[in-house]
Amino acid sequence: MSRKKRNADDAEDRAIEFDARSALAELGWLPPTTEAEVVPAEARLPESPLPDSLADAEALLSRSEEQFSGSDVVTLPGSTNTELTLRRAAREGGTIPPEIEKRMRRDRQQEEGQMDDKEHGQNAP
Amino acid sequence: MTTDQASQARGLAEDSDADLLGYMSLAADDPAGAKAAWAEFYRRHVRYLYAVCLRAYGPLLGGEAGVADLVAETFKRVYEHADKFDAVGLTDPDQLRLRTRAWLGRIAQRLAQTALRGRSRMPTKLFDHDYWQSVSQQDVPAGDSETSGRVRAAIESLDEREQIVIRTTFQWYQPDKQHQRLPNDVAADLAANLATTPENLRQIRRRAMRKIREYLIASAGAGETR
Repeated sequence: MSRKKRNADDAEDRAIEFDARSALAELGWLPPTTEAEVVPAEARLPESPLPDSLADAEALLSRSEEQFSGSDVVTLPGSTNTELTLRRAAREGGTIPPEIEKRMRRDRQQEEGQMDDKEHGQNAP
Repeated sequence: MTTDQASQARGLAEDSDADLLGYMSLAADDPAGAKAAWAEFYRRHVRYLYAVCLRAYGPLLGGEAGVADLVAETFKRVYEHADKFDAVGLTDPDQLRLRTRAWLGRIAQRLAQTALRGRSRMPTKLFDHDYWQSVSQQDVPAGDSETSGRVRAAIESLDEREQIVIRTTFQWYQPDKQHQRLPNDVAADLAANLATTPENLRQIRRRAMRKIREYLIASAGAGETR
């Protein structure tokens, strides 16, 4: 295939993709993201009732505040107290006695095991 | 509701969307006023946003519950980033409503993309500054309506699998890019859902686009012979 023909095919493909994007918006398979797309979307809006979770605006905002105030606090195995203690000791150049290190590692394994159990429990059918 | 609140609610009902967003952006100084403005803004747009998101994302986000999460998150982002709305040059309430709803659509779209990428129902992290810049300015020009009507018929003629692939891949469509690309994690997830491979997804997309092209050629030929 010549370069000229290939370029023409690529241009045609791009034109079809562009039209496909418009068609998907018209079908409602993409949300209206331009003012021009909102107009027909408003005209064809189905009269579907809101689910209970969206019915009360004030409750929704309050719930969001509660959820998000704690959403960044996630305990992962890599940031447990044991791990942090080990890191701190390493940073400060301190020596950790073997029995302490052994105990810390045992604690860490135990914590990771609990995390695994929790995760598997959540995913269980 | 107290008399003051009722009075405030009546006043807000007559304010424009830009005004409401302005009140929300002052939440640090007047949290009660900001929340009242948000409630009025929510009342105006929630049914619209839920309906368009249910149509666009219902099959991709697990139905009504997933879409309700998306809508709730979208309105929460509006409350937190109300100052990013750009109403410059608009005073007509209808035009403001269209711009507001287009903005809501872009926020919902970006949230849905993130949710699809994270394989979670909804992301919990806030977007960075660059994201909010792009969400307020992004615009995709409209296509020719006659052509897109024929493309729409072509898409509806595809089989279900091809429709899902087209529907998902076009969530990441960028008109300025020559080669469209689906994020790897989304491709892997979609391939697993369809019991196929990411490489096969590319084949399915290619085949679907070829069918659309052939449909267009055939329908153009039929139009010429009439």
